[in-house]
Amino acid sequence: MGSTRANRFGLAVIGLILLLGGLTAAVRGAAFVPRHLGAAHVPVTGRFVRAFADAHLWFWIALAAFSVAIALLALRWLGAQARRPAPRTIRLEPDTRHGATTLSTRAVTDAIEDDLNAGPYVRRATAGVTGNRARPHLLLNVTVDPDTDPADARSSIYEAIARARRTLENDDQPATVRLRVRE
Amino acid sequence: MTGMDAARTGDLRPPSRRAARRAVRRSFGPRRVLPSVVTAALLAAAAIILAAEVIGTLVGRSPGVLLPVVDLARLGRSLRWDDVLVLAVASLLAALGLLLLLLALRPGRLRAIPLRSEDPNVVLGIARADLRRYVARAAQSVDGVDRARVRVRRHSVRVRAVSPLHDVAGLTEQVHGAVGERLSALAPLHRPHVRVTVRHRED
Repeated sequence: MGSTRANRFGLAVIGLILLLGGLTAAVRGAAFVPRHLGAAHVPVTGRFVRAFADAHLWFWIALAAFSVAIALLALRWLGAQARRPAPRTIRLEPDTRHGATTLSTRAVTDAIEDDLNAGPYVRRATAGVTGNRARPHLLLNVTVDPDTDPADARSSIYEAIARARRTLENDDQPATVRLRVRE
Repeated sequence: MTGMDAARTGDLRPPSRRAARRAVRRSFGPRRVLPSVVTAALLAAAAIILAAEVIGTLVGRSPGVLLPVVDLARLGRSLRWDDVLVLAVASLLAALGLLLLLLALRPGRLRAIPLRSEDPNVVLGIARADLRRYVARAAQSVDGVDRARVRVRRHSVRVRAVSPLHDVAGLTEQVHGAVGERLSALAPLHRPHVRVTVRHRED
């Protein structure tokens, strides 16, 4: 879920650069403040710019390095859109100095699913884990019949989460629950 | 508990509304995948082409393999800042930038309707379509109601029920009660306004 913030940040930065760059160019073309931005009726790449680029090799090297850096960042941003695979194990104690006890994620999610499916109020439940093995986040999809009282569904969900928390030895274990309603 | 731990967990007061809202956003907020994929892909493509062209020329390959460098250079010399084309491209880029900025800064629509949770670490939600099914069933469970169509909006739930009965006045009350009861049990974080209309129709 870390990609949500990255997306917001990336879009804001690119948007701001495009907005400011586009506005600056348009304002120069419209000759609103020629004193600060330069004259409007001159070539886009003026003589000074051309001479500078021709005379300085380091300009091209810097441009190449900058492009490579931007390309790498953009590819990383793109890669962050793929959902990260769930951790295969969950670590119990956050303090690893005395050795770490791990549980298989599958065992934890299976237990939650069995727990919910065994009760009378839930038609189908699936459980998953996101985050990493030190700080897992539980994801539950709980499908109920439209005739089920939401209060009953809710209490069996809380019970299942409470049991998972005891297994994980974490009273604050976070969870996201999506309630679904199917005939 | 040591002093440091106490300081760190010092905010043991009931979870603030702000924290709850942030947790809901984290779970059900928009991820902005589509604009991000498009922007990142275009940016990567542009940067790779530019880097390849510049590096290629630096190591002695003939320029203009990936980018029409000669034409671009001629365009840069011949176009002036006050040309219509330059103004149009500049405005287009600014508009695009504004669009991306709005996409990033606006909070966006939640992917699920958040439900009240007594546990600050548990976020509960229900998709619009599922809430619709749930409410529709509650309305249909009232005796005398044949069918019920439900529309769920951000702040309101609209129920249109059809009944074969002639006197639908009392029925509206009953449907309203059934829907209200279902919503109370479901307990959405922001309780929607409920409107019910029952029409008489014989099939």
